[in-house]
Amino acid sequence: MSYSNSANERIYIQKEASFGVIPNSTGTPTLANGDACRHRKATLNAVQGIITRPDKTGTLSATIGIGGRKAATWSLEMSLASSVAGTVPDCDPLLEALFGKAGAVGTGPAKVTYELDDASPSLSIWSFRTPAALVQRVGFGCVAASAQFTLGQDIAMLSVSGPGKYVLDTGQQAVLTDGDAAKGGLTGATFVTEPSAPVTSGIPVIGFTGVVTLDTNVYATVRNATVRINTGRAMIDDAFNNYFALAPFQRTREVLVDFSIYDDDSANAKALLAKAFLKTPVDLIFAMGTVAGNTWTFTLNDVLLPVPEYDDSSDRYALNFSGCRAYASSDTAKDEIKLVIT
Amino acid sequence: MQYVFVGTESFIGAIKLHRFGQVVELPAELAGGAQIGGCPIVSKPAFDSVRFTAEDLQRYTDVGSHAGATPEFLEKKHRAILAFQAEAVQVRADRATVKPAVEVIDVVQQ
Repeated sequence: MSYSNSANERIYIQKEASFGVIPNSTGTPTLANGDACRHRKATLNAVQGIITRPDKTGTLSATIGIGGRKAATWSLEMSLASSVAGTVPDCDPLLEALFGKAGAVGTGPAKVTYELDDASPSLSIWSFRTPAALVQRVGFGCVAASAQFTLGQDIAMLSVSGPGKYVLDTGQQAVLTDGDAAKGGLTGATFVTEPSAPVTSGIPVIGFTGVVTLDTNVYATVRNATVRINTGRAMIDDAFNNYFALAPFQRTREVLVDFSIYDDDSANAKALLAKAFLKTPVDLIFAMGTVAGNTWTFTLNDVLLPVPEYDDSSDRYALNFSGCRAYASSDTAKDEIKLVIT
Repeated sequence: MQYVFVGTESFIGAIKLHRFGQVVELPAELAGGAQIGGCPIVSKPAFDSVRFTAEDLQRYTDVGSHAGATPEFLEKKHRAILAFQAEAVQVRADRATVKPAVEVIDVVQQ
């Protein structure tokens, strides 16, 4: 009997052309080496409720339950990493699912830009573990509900999570009939084998390097920052005659940033404080990394700063701004946040 | 076929690419898949057409050294990366003809 080491896992991420349909060619997955993406942590779980018959039995014993609706949850955590300017990073499908549209490759300088849109792209996320005899899984119809970019520590990190339509695994594929929604469009009884030469590229972003610009002033006293996006996406999971969720809907999204700076008596810090109290919106720019092709710049527009918390928990006083929300610059712009990789 | 690495660090299966100008022998099918997957390798003839000097490749083999590289080298590096991106676009176009996907019919589960 073999066990599974947590580290013996690779993740592959594919964009879905149709919600809940694993990319395939006449029922065979079109998974490729280039879909691989290094990660630190992955969860991919099928969910199924139990329906309980409510009628009395005449005793205090419960009636055995019946299998209910099916769904999935997923999350991925990985370091920010990109290879060369103008080429999308390995986590591109994840960023597209988060922002709502594909990254745009641009020039002058070479870059990839991710901007918000109101669509809800879905993903198929494959987990392959070794030894190969273990259960292998693919979550499909996975949409991004929330994400967090963590900046300031040694390695800048990204974590994304959300609901999914379902998680198919090797065991289920062998016994489910073709056409069952739990197969995500795949046919046959054999689960695809992992691609033989997974391709991953890029070095990680050192999380404490870069340039932080708060309200047009560059700050060297930033301790850490966390950019959070709550997309508001959720599944339609109460439709009649469907055990599985229908394509997702989306509520108003929320883009937030938390950051901490050392307190000082500079004019810039005082001006920032004044804007927090007056609720004057400011623009915040976090450019993380210094290596060409691997510099990730988050621009947050019209951020309303909360009253900061004075923090004396370490040796030097700090100001903590928590839950700063970014807003679009107009009713038609979707520019609360933009990510540019150069 | 020979390809040349023009990125920071990549893996193609067991192959580690971490030196600028590192030459690797790969089947075209595997190399094309790697290019589509974002691995910055360029065919040797295309790389050679950029005309890096022997000194360039010796001096700037470590990507960390590129921050202080000469403008001439950085211009050549830029052209090499453009050559990689052009090849990736071509491979993607060549492979674009695929069989139709099987859609899901949401049958009611009994």
